[in-house]
Parts: sequence; C-alpha cells; structure tokens
Amino acid sequence: MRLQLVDYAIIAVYFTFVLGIGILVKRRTKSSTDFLQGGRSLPLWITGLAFISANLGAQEVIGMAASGAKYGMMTSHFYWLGAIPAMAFLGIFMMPFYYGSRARSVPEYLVLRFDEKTRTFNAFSFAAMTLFSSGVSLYALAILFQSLLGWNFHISILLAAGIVMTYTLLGGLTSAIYNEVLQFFLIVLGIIPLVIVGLKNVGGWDGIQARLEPQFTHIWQYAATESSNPMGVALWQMALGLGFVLSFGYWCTDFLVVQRAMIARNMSSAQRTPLIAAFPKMLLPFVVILPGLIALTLTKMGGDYHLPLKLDGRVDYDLTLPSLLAHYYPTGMLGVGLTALIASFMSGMAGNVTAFNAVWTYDIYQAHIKKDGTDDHYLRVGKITTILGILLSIATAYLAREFNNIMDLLQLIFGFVNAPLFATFMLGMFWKRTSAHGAFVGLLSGTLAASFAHGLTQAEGKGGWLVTTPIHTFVSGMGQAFFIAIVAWTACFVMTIVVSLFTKPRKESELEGLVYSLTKKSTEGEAQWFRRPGPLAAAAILATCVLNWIFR
Amino acid sequence: MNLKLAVTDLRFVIGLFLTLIGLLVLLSFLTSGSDVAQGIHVNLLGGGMLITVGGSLALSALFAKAPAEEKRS
Repeated sequence: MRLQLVDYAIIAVYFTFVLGIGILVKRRTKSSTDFLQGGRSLPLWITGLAFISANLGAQEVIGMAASGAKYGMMTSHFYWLGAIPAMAFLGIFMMPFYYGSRARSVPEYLVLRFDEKTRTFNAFSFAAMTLFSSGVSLYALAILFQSLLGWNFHISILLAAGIVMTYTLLGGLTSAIYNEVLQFFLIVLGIIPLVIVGLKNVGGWDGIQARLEPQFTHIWQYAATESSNPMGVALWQMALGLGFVLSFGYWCTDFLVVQRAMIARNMSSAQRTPLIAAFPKMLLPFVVILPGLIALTLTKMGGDYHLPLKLDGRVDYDLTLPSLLAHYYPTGMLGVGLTALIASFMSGMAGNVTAFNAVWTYDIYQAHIKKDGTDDHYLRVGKITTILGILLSIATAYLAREFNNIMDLLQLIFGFVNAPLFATFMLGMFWKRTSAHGAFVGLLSGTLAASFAHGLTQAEGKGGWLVTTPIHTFVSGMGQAFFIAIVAWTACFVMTIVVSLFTKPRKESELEGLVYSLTKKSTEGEAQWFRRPGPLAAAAILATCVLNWIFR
Repeated sequence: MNLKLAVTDLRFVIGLFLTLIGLLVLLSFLTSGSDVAQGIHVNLLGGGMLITVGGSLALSALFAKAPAEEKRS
C-alpha cells in the first residue's frame, strides 16, 4: 500500500486537530474534577457518542471485520444480543445508582455499597486491565503500520503514544472524549463508501446470500448447536454467555464505558446516554461487519481480490479491512480510511489511559496513600498518572511484541474480571441482604472458578493446563470463553448469596440510594417520550428485535 | 451567527475537520482521474459525504443559540 502526499496531508490534519482539541480544552481544565471527570458537565450527544466510541477502538473495528469474514453475519450477535439489551438495562436500572450515589468511579460505588477490600480488589484488577488493553492497542497500531506502510515499529509506537499523552495531559478526560467523538465520525464516514462500493461489486445483499453458505448470512437459523454454525457456539452458550454474563458484565460494570455516562450533566442525561447510544450502535454491524462478508464474497467470486494470507498460507482475517481499503480506495479516501484506523487506535488507548487515571487517583492513591490532599494535589497526581500510564502502555506494547499470546491473555482476563463483577453488582443493587464479605468472597470465587474452567477445558489448543486430558474440548475459543464467563458468574452469584446469609449485612439506613428496594423511585415527569429513559429503552429493544428478525 | 461562540463548540471543531479532509479528498478527485471503482467515483462520494456532514455540523454550531445552562440534578 503506497500513500501519496494528499493521504499524508489528511493524516497530518488529523494530528493537528487532535492536538488542537487538547489546547482548546486545556483552558477549561482547572480542577481534578475537570481533568478526571470532564467537569461532569458534558452534553448528552457527546456522552452518547463517546459511550459507543469507547467500544469502537481499532481492536473492535478491525476485529469485527475479521469476524465478519470468519463467522459471517452471526458476528452481529455482539451488537444485537450482546450490547443493546445490556445498554438498556444500564440506562434504566443501574445508572440511577451510579449517578445518584455520586460515586466518581465504578470501584467507588463498591466502597459505598460494600467495603474497602472489595473496591481495592476491583480497582487493581481494572487498572491492570486498562494498561494491558492500552498497550495492546499501541502494539497493534505499530504492527499494522509496519506491515501495511513499512513504517518503523518503534517510531510508530513513540509517535502515537506521544500524541495521546500530549492531548490527554492538556485536556484530561474531556479531551479524550472529544477525540472519541471525532473518531466516531471519521470511522463511519471513512468506511461507508467502502461498503457502498463493495456491495455494488458483489451484487448487494442478494449477491452475498447467493454466493455464501446460508450459515454466514443468518444469525439464528443455524445457532442451535456448536457444529451447525461457523462460530462454533451452541445456542445456550450464546444466550447465557454472551447475551447475559459477558454483555451485562461489560456494558454495566466496565468503568471505561460506564464513565462516559457518569460524567453527564444530570441524572436524566446519564440515564439516556447508553439509550441514545443504542440507536447508532445497532446500525454499526452494517459498517464494521459487512465489509468482512463483502471480502469473503469477493474471494468466492474469484476476481482480483482475495482475503489476505499469512506466511503459513492460512487466512489473515485481521487484515480484512485494511486489504479492502487498499483494494477499493484511491489516493484521498485511502488517507481517510487509514486516518480512521489511526484514530480508533489512539482513541482506544486514550480511553483506557483516562479510565486508569481516574481509578488510580481516586480508588488507589486517595483511598490508600493520601486521603486529604488539596484539589491541586490530585490534579497533579492525575497528570503524573497520565504520563505513567502511557509509559506503562509502551512497556506493555513491547511485552505484547515479545509474547504474542498476550492478546489471548487479555481476552481471558476480561472474562475473569468482568463476568463475576456483574453478579456482585446485580446482588449488591437488587438484594439488600448482600454483605460486604459476601461480595468479596463471591468476586474471588468467580475469578478462581474462571481459572479452573480454563484449566480443565480446551479449545483451539488453548486451556487445559490443569489436567493431562481436558474434561471438554470446545469447537471454538469463543465457545470456551462464553462457558468460562457463565461458570465465573454462577460461582460469584452462589458464593455471594451463601456468605451473605452467614454474615452481617449493613444497616438499611446506610443503603439508601445504593439498593433498588431502598431507593425512592424518580418519576419521569412530563418530558416528551424521547426524553424519557423508559420509552427510549423500549424503542431500542423493539428496533433490535426487528433487526434480529430480519436477519434470523 | 456567532463565530466566537462556535469555535468553542465541539460540533464546529469536528465539522471543520471533516470539511477540511473532505476538501482534500475532492482535490484528489479533481487532480487524479483514477478514482473509479465499480463505476463509482470513490473520492467524489467520500469527499461529498465528509463535506456534507462536516458542513452541517459546523453550520449548526455557527447558528446555535447560546447554550442554556442545565443544572445538575
């Protein structure tokens, strides 16, 4: 792939604007609240777009196109089953507690509802997860530029890390969020022309259906058993693992996304942030998954495009989207497409670093190292943490280069941490009897159960490290991941209940605003229907059901 | 129209950015004749979309009324 002057000019304009946004926001960033929480004053449309953009990093954009080519339309389950219902649940049931409790982070809710040890456990595991995730983003960006453009690996890493550090240091969370919104428009507008041209090439959706096996174009008809669909996942694993545990675990408890709603101007905006985000989110499969199906169809057509291959002759699905950009885009749009990829990498990294900042400063530093510092002090700590976070991300990127399986490890950690955490939150918010000891033991048990499930089962040669013969071998790694999540959630749920029944719960008077049954329900007032969370959630769920039915 | 207010509005900043890169893409369309794929002028399509969305965002910020202060509930 060879870039021309105009492509480089587009990339340069992008770099100028992201730094410009940092400078623009710097004037408004005066306190630690401004730096770490965006002043809690951002308008709804920004928090809504940032909410989906936080999950639209390059790993998702490139990964979803790759999955589209590998698994077909079933990949849209990550949106229509694995995202929208959980986003609606977050908006309706969980945001009132996050926002109403005035917690500044997800771990801080845990200290308000339970105790310090539960918060600290979650804060450390989340901080580690964000650093790994940020480093992997950086590593993937450098690898992409090395393989596509011949750019030097080290220079790519230093350039991207330097730019992210500069704009995050200048404007903190607001700067990161503004760049996420910019990235959203860039990705959508940078890829839609590719989808239009690609669809014309393959004869539209009818052409795709005519050339691919029906398992690749239907999302439910072939979902019954592991062997009947390209994903290798059985219906129960899909429904429980992805549709319940992993999706609710991620969208309702991962601070990286929940933070985007927690910094809204008021409760109503905080509740509507994930609901407003649900509408563009449900259409994203047509932007990020469809290119994968187009690439697969083109390969079957046997023309001048083929899915890229690795050195060993296997298909390199991760290069599906970049290879399509190179195939269709001339100089000009090629620059836009590549800039969209750069933006998604950098914004994914900035999102992780800003979430790490907030958790480190509030839940580790302020909680354990210096409790009564001045606001200026915590602002300084936030800025130093930004630099530290970026440096650790660079170190993780090099670690990822040395140990190629670090990405698998990262996915596994997500399952280990997020899946049990959702059980803790569910019980904590909806069962007043849940005790602090119960929550802590439950979380630990969930994480341990996940490790055992991984050690006893195997998929695609991974796992099974506890026994010589695995007790079950899954058809796909995805099936195994869903199973591990179900096991982790169940262990946490059961152990939390058991230990809570034998330990002392907190007084009811201390739980007001933290537990559903002890919190006054707010009325939605006279606002128009589209301004009320209830009808918005209903409309989002209905629209998602329609999409599921169309592509059944 | 309030340019002073608009430059601090994210819609204006993003709109300006999209319009600028849209113009660069259109420049490529005008200077290079080889942007046709499947009978579609890709740079014309992409550049047009960028300018339309970017221009709309920037204009909406330019002609926006001063924002009403919403109080945190």
